[in-house]
This record gives sequence, structure tokens and C-alpha cells, in this order.
Amino acid sequence: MNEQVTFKLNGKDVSVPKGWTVMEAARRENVSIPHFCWHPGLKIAGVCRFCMVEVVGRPKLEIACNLPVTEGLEINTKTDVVKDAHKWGLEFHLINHPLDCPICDQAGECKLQDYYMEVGKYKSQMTRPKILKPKALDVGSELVLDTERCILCSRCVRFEEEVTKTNALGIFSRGDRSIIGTYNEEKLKHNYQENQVDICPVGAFTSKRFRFKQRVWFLTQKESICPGCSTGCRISVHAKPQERRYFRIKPVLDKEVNGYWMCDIGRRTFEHHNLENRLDSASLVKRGNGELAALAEQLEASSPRDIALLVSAQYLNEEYQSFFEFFVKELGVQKVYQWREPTEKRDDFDNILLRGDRNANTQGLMGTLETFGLSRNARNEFDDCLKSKSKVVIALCPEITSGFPSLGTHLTQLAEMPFVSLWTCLIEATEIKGLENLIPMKSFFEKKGTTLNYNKVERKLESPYPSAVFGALDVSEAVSALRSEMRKMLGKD
Amino acid sequence: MSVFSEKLQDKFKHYLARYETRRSAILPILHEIQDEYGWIQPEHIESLEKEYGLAKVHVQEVVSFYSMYRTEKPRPYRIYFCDNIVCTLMGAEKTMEKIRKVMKSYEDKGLESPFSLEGVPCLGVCDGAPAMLVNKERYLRVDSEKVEEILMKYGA
Ligand code: SF4
Ligand code: SF4
Ligand code: FES
Ligand code: FES
Repeated sequence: MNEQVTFKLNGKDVSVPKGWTVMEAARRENVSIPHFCWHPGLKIAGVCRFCMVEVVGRPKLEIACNLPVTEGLEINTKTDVVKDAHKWGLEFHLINHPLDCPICDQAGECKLQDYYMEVGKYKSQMTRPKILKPKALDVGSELVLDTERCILCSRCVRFEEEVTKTNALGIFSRGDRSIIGTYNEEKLKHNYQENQVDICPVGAFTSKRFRFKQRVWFLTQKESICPGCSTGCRISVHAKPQERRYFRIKPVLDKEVNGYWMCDIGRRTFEHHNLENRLDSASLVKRGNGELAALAEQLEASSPRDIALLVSAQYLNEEYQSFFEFFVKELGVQKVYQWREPTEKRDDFDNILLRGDRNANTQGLMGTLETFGLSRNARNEFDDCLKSKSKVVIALCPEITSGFPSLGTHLTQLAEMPFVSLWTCLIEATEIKGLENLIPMKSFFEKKGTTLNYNKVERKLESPYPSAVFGALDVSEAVSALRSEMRKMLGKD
Repeated sequence: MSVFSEKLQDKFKHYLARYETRRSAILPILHEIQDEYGWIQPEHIESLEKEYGLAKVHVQEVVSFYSMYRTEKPRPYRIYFCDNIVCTLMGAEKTMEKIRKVMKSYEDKGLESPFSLEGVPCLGVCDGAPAMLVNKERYLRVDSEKVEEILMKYGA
């Protein structure tokens, strides 16, 4: 079935499945072939002519990205002719390039820079002035375009054609005046714009949100899962933990779930993690564990029948487990309500990645409810909780608010109930009068554990950042602190 | 209702069926539009997307690649004057200077000149240098006197 072909790559025998290109084979073998236009998530264009390799026995160099491996082929990627081709290729690409690396956000992750250092290092022979092109163009809500930095690799054009199917970008004019752009200065309107920043090998597309904020080499990267919807794209979170600041999110290849991409809604899910948007213990009315002690008192004084749990689907499986373990198993609470946006269109799908269920862990919550024999409660909604006449409500607040327009109203309504303990990471909660018991929570990227995506694929959060605020807890930590508060109280009696 | 005439639409359909990809039909379709309307207007490009699914961007790529597609309303009489070697040696520059003067005389009177002037490569009639085209009409040995007569014919 899986027919193999064997060829020689820099003198070494290599076998790959039939149909693979030399580029793909070399990548698997960790042989770097410099390239601009080829991208594993897009169709082959063969326009940058940079991935030149020597084919023994053939008179001219050929491009590796469009060269299928055939039996007995002999490829060299490091010989002098190849090196010479790289120099020429780069020199052509840089003829009209503005060389403004010091103010370019791509610096540090730019293929032009990387390859110049790797295979370039020539002296410019150009004596004629450079051709000037439009700069700092506003081409969409997320993007700025500098057409002088563009090397015309057409990756962005193919992305609009193949992935979003919007055909919004094209290459206009010809020759050295060729220019990338939209029709009649229209704007890109889709929810996948920032992928252009990632696939653009140079600094032509930059992100409005990230531009001029930070030099990329100062950032720490940790893998996580996007909390933006029930797809659960695999991501890398870029931050400066020492300054307790999050800066941006990039997708990480996950063939099963998100491929190479992620959406712009997901890219924005780092913002609420930052200090100024966070509830920390210093912003509380009572300090430190005083809040948990107050809750413990209330729990102590109430019968389980008067206690309700209001749970959003944005927490991790492990958190649900300890939450229900304590409140349902140990305290005997039976009133459980799901806290969801009433207008949500849970089954919507944009046919790329984004789903109408804007909660990362609906499946995980359902599953946990089931293990605790609470499946029937899954249908209880926010309004039912309001009407439940409960005296004490423990509420696990949603943290991704973009898909939750009713959150403000909900919080105001909750504030009218007798005693609500709101477990949240959002500073907004302090602005609502009457919400007095607030427990500062860790945000999504600060926790370790698992979720289940819409398709019940397990998503792992393995390398959390230290919390950006002091005194924040995850649900399990809050539950054990609460448990010991209650023990303390019993001991005192 | 289409902005294009029935006749034009039939031609479009013919081209769209003729090639392996619909995108390939953009080139001849644009020629037809230019022949009919004199230039390619934004509403044509937008209608091609709406009515035939040819992406605006793809059409604009072709329009901007070829300098002979017109994207501005042309003057009634377009003069293409050969500015290559033989015609230049035979005094093309002097004649063109004359044409510019005639064009300017319109502006001085606050009128729009009915002519436009563009230098073009060899017209293949070097034995008749200096040579020019007015729209699709060819004129040979146009010196600065003869050119005045010719322009008069067109209303100057
Ligand atoms: S803008 Fe970037 S991705 Fe698009 S063609 Fe230019 S270099 Fe390539
Ligand atoms: S599709 Fe969903 S999980 Fe993926 S990036 Fe967008 S919001 Fe995040
Ligand atoms: S990567 Fe092969 S031609 Fe561009
Ligand atoms: S050079 Fe003018 S027609 Fe040939």
C-alpha cells in the first residue's frame, strides 16, 4: 500500500512514501532547505525560486518544493552551486526591500533575516535607488500591511483562496512594481486574519494588537489550549512571566484539531489574563482568606437544600471533579445549574474552526455531571438558578466574555440573591454592587489539567504560567482551602 | 439586470466554457468590455464577481498587470506616437511637442482636450517614420505641419 521510494539526500539513502516532494523528505530528515513560498498548510506555488537543490545528472538546479522524489534520485542541498543560487536568490529578494529591521516586528522571526545569516552574507551591488511602495496600510481589523517588505511569495494570497475562501488578496501590477493588496482598498473581514502574520515569511503583515509592543526574543513561549470555543485549538502563549504580562497567542500544529491555524477571537483570549483586568486578593473588600472564611460560615449555617452551584463550562475536568466531590459528595448539595449565555448558538460552526459553543469544556462538564449522577441538572439554566430561592450560591464565573454578552446582566441579577460567592478571575466583578464574596481565580493559561473539546478529544494544558496576580487559586485549590476553613471552624466549636 | 448587454453576456459565456479554468477567461472578457465601453470600470469588475463568480481580486490582478487595459475614461481620440529609434531620429519628438501644444490650447480655453498622447514602441512602419496611430487609424511621415492638419480633421 504505502509504497516507498528511496533516493540519495546529500549522499545518504533516504526512503519516503511515494508522492512526497524533496522538500517534505528533507524536512523529515532535518535537512534545512531555505524556502519562502512553500508552506505545509497551503498548495505549492513554486514562485520564490529559493528552495533550489542540485539534482545529480541534470544540467540545472531545481526547486525542492515541487520536485517529487523518484527512485534513485540524487539530491545535494549544500554544494557550491546551491549556495551560489541562494546568494543570488536573496540578493534579488532584497533589491527593493527597505531593510528596516530595527523597526520591524518580524525581526527575530523573519525568514529574510534568518536566511541572510544562514546562506546570504553578500555585499549589495545595487547602485540604483529602491522602488518605493505603500506602507502601513490598514487592510483589516487585525492587520497592517507594508508592501515594501513583501517578497511576493503569495502565501497570503493562497491563504485567502484556500483556507478562508475569501479571495481578498491579490498581486497587482507586474515586475518590480508588483504589489500585494486588496481590491479597491477593501478590508479583510474574516476571523482568521492574524494567520497572515504567521505565514508571511517577512514583516509585510504585522498584527495591530502586537505591533511595537515587544521584541519577540524577549518572550517566553508555553503551550496551552485556546479557551475561546469548544474546538480547543492547540496554541502557544507568548508572555513575559517576570513582568506578569501576556502578549500574544500563536497556533501550534495539531493535525487532529486545528491544523496550522487558529481564529482571531482565539488570539484575543490572552487579554483578560493581564494584571489590569484581573481580580486579585488586593482588590477584595475583605483580605486574604477572609472571603473563604465568610463562605465557610454561610455553608456551615445553611442546609444543603438552600445551597446552589452555578457552573460555567470554562473550567478544567480536574477542577469540576474536586468541586463536585466537595459540594455534592461531601456537603450533599443537589441543586446544580449550568451558567451559559442564553443567546448562544451552540451547534454553529463556521466550517473552518470556530464553533458556536464558546466554552472550552462543555463536554467535560457534562461528563463530570454524569459521573456524579447529575445529568438531569445539565438542562438547568441560569434563570432556574435565580428562581431557585437558594440562600447560598457558589458560582464558577466564565472568563471568556467575548461570547457572553449577557454576563453583565447576569452578575447584576446574581447580586440580588442573598449570598453569592463568585469565583472569578475578572476585575469587572468588583464593579457590581452587592457582589461581596469574590474568590480570585487563576486564569486559563495558569492552570494544569484537561478539557474535552466538542468532539470529546482530550486537550491537555501542561505548562501553566505562574499566575499574573497574587493570591489567585484554581478551583481545586480553592476547594481545599475552603475545606480547611470549615474544619477550623468545627474545631473551634 | 446585468450591466452588460445580452450580446456581451453571450460572449462571456463562450469564453467561460472555453478554458480549463474559468479564471483563464478573464483576459478575453476584459478585451470585450474594453472594446464595448472604452475602458474597464469598477462596476464591470464588481459585476463580473456578482454575475460570474470571477473574484474581483483576480480580475484586478489581470487589469493591473497589462498596461493596455484602460482603467480611466479615455479621451475620444487617443494618439499613440512611436518613440523608438527610427521615429525619434526622424523628428518624432518635435511632432509630439506640437501635439502637446494643441492639447494645451484646449486647456488654456478652459476646455477638455479630446486627445490623449502616449509614447509607444515601434509600430513596424519605420520606413514611414515618424509614425503614429489615432485610435486604430495609422498615419505615416507625420511632421509638425502634417500633424496639425490631421488633428484638425478630428476637430482641433
Ligand atoms: S505579504 Fe507576506 S505572505 Fe504575502 S506575498 Fe508578501 S511576503 Fe508573501
Ligand atoms: S476556533 Fe475556537 S479554539 Fe480555535 S482559536 Fe478560535 S476560539 Fe480558539
Ligand atoms: S519554496 Fe520552492 S519555489 Fe518557493
Ligand atoms: S521606430 Fe517608429 S515605427 Fe519603427
